[in-house]
Amino acid sequence: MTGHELFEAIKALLGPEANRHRGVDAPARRDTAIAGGSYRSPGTLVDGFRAGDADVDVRGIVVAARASTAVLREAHRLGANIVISRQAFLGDSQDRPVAKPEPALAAKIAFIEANRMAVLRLQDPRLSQEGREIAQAFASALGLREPQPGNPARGLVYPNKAMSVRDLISRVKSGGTTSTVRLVGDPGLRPVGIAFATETNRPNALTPLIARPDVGLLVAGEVHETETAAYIADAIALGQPKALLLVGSIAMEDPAAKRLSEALPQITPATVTYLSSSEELREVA
Amino acid sequence: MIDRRLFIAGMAGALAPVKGLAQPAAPTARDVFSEIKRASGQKWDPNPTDDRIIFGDRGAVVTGIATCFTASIDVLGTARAAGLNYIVPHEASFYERYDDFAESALPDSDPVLRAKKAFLTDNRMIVQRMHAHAHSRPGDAIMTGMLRKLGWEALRVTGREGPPWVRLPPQSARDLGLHIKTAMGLHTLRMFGDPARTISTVSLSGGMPGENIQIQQLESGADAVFLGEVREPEVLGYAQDMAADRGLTVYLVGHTNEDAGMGLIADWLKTIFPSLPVQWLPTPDPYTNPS
Repeated sequence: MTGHELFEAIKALLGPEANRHRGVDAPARRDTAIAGGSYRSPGTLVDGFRAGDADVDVRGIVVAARASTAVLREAHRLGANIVISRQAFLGDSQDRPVAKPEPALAAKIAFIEANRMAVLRLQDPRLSQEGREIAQAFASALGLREPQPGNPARGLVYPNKAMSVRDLISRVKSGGTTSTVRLVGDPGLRPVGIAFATETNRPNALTPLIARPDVGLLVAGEVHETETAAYIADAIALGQPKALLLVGSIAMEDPAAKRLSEALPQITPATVTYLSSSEELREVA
Repeated sequence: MIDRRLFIAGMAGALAPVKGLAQPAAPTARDVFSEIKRASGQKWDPNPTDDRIIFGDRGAVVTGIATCFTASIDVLGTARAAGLNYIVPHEASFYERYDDFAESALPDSDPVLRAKKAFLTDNRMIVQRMHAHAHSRPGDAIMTGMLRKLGWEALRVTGREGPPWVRLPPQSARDLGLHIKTAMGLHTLRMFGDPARTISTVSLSGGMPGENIQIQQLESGADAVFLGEVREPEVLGYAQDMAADRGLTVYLVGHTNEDAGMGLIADWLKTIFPSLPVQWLPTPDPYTNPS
């Protein structure tokens, strides 16, 4: 099985993409706006090979939240030549080609080429049962089950009565991936519903999700602070029972990477290894 | 954001002396905005950050001016209580970073959006954004305000292009982080890197100038990098990759690190409108990291 064949098998396993509009980030929006277009709607696809030769025979697979230098080196040490990354590889969220890679990125590309490896980005929410379970992996790791039915690309909403925001933060931190969450709002709030933004490469355009009357808490990897965070601060000032919890993009994607690694043996005999991607952040105290 | 256009505009501001014109006894929003543009000495270009009157009746009489990081509901309430109805925020006011209603992800019927607009309308308030032209004030008012708040204005390294550096007495990354956290009034501060590492040079940027500039800072050779808002996969990710081979310390301070600069804009506006009350209304750090 080559890298390309692996990707085709993964797409068949995980189902069709859940969203035709993705990869919208601030630079893209600005570029598009300056060019006279609507910066809310570039239809840029995200999933695909980003570095290396995808025609190589798959010798081993590593799945991680991010194809960091450390992950690439460990994958090579393990004998794996395909690294599947949830997050972008080339330096912006759309993984657009970089004309002059900065030194650390250039070193990664050189390492991949020297060792005949390939990096596959796989982040789009997908609609098969396996695809949905991967999209729900972070919420599942926190003990949340059965989101409302709907398109996971528009967010996952879990009705809630008993859990407070503080309870949820405790569960996030006990997962060990992050200790540096950021909360806007009251940790004692028991939100009517908890929404998870599944596309961490789309930090904008999350206001409609938290604006829903059945959502009291939005959990995201990151947001545009002057958009979503500002909206929630105003909603709170108006007396609405809302809150925003930012857990960081690595913590958001790590469980999905782990769940994906568990699914892949269905379609490949190659060894599949999940590697945790530490964000390496700490609270100054 | 610092780019060539803003640099030229900033130089124009530095070179053009401000001449006070006779101001009407009851200036309208249109009068006030016109006078701000004239006094800036800059060729006023509302693009790309929409430095214009975003909302409100241009014919409304201005009773006072409030500058702020963002025109939040809380800030607007404080301004109304102080009798200030001409609001000058640095950042967008309507949850769309260019204040472009046509591009807003929210419907016009959104209750928060409607409530904010109603509050502004009911209180005859006007919102005039000042983003690029705050940065392009001589010396960059936003950067100067940030450095002053940190107590580092005199420590700025001269002769460098790009984001400024400061040179500090050597200290641990943890101690420096504690200083930043206290000086900036932060409830929470995220740090990347070894807390015991010794720091003497820091590269700083405010707000979110974009990953290209922020990665330039990471590669600049400074011991530590002070950033506002980042896109984590791009910028924090790059720091993670660098740190595999090179020592690096990063402080993720948040976008409100630009707040104090709007205090300097208020000081400037006081010189233009001596007969109007002018106040800077601070924006506190919105985040906590509950245990």
